[in-house]
Amino acid sequence: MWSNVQDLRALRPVKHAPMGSASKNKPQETNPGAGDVAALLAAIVDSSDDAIVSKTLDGIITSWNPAAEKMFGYEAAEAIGQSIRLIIPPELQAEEDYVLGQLRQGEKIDHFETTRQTKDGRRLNISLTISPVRNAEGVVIGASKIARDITAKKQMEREREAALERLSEALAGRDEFIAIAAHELRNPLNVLMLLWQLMDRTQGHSSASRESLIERSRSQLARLSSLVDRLLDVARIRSGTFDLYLENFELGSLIRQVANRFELESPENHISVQLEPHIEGTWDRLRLDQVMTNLVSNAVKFGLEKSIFVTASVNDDQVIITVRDEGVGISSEDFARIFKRFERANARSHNEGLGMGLWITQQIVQAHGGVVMVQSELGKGSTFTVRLPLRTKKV
Amino acid sequence: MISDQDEIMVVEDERESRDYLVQILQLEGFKVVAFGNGAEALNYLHQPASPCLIILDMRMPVMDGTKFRSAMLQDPRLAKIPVVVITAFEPPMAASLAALRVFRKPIDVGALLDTVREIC
Repeated sequence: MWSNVQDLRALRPVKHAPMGSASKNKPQETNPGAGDVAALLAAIVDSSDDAIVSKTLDGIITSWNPAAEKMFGYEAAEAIGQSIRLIIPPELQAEEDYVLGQLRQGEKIDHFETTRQTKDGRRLNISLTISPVRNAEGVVIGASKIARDITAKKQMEREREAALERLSEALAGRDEFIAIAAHELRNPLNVLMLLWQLMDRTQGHSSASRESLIERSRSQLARLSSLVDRLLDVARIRSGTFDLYLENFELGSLIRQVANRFELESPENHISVQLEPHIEGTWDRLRLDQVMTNLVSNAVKFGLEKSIFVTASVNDDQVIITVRDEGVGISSEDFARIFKRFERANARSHNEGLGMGLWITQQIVQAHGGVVMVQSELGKGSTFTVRLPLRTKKV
Repeated sequence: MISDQDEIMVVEDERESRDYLVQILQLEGFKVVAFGNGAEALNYLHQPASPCLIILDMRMPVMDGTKFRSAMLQDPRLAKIPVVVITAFEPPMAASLAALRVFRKPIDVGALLDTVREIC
């Protein structure tokens, strides 16, 4: 029954009408069972979720089922008699020329994935199957088109691809992190290995020199331990199990302690500290110690042994902390990278560290509701500024 | 004048690693000269000096191991001096340096000393 365009047109004499009424339009019907078959087919077409449309070889629509009305927004009465180009977006009009060319040669087009446009201008991803329709003599006189809306499927495919891409980036990031971590852990391990070899060779030497070697071993073990702590911090922040333990305390004394620690560590470190008196607030003491340690440690690393200036003052309900060095500075192209995980401003820098210090600093400051900023000029030094609310609110 | 040919040169920026390696080599009876970067070491070699072996770190400030090694290879006199690389990087990164051996940190001190004894 599908082999005649007249039959197809007859499927839609009345909108959504069952085939029984349509068959009245076919006076030459001789086979008594044919009307029932046609009614059955019409019912199938009417109840299909896929848009089923027929058209002439000039592309004029001759039938339009309810699913086509729902999918493209045109009523059957609006669509029938119009060109099928009605639903083809302007930039894809050439597709119709190709389709009509294929049909004239009697070729079928299977599962052709393309885009069509609805009456209200929405774009749909559809899969098209277009078959030539022949008359009793076998001459192609039109086409039937079945269109399936695959917009949701395409959207899912895009989401899946994006998720795979994110996953593969995350895996590459993790691999890179493991490589950097292994590299950084090897340096203190190397010092320890050499120290123990040295101790082995200095048995019988003065106890003072051996004491000093043991003390140096301890300091290397502390360095290793701090590297491992940073690795764990990254894991905690990433998994969202990073909690603040808030308490009231005076920030100035914490800043002085950190500066003193660096001055004790190495006599080359000159740290000038200028503080407003009594900066009382609510913060996580250990985490702010970490922030100050990271910022001062950076200033020491990149400060070319020049003076380092630390200030803290209160402005309204915020404390503003600055750490300034007069060292190597950061180039403008490195600005965006330095707060990312595992990045050093200079990737080939000889300085140790996992490149996580600034990232961790930023995460801690943000958890307190604050911000961390940097101003820098290559060759002139850097200033890191931290703004924190005086009273951190428990999230 | 060419300085002692039984001298070992250590080029390593990390002070503690450098100091302990120097002390171990000295306790084993070798003469050692040490530098914190490639530029200082190259300067010394141009004096001129011809150590029997150079123990070279890769990642260093001012002039890193790769640049130091390519400067050496461009000078026929320096190109002849054997080099042992010590690195925390993966060995492939050091493979292109035409080094006699590559030791990954933490260094196998026994194996390094065996190599040193073979050459100096």
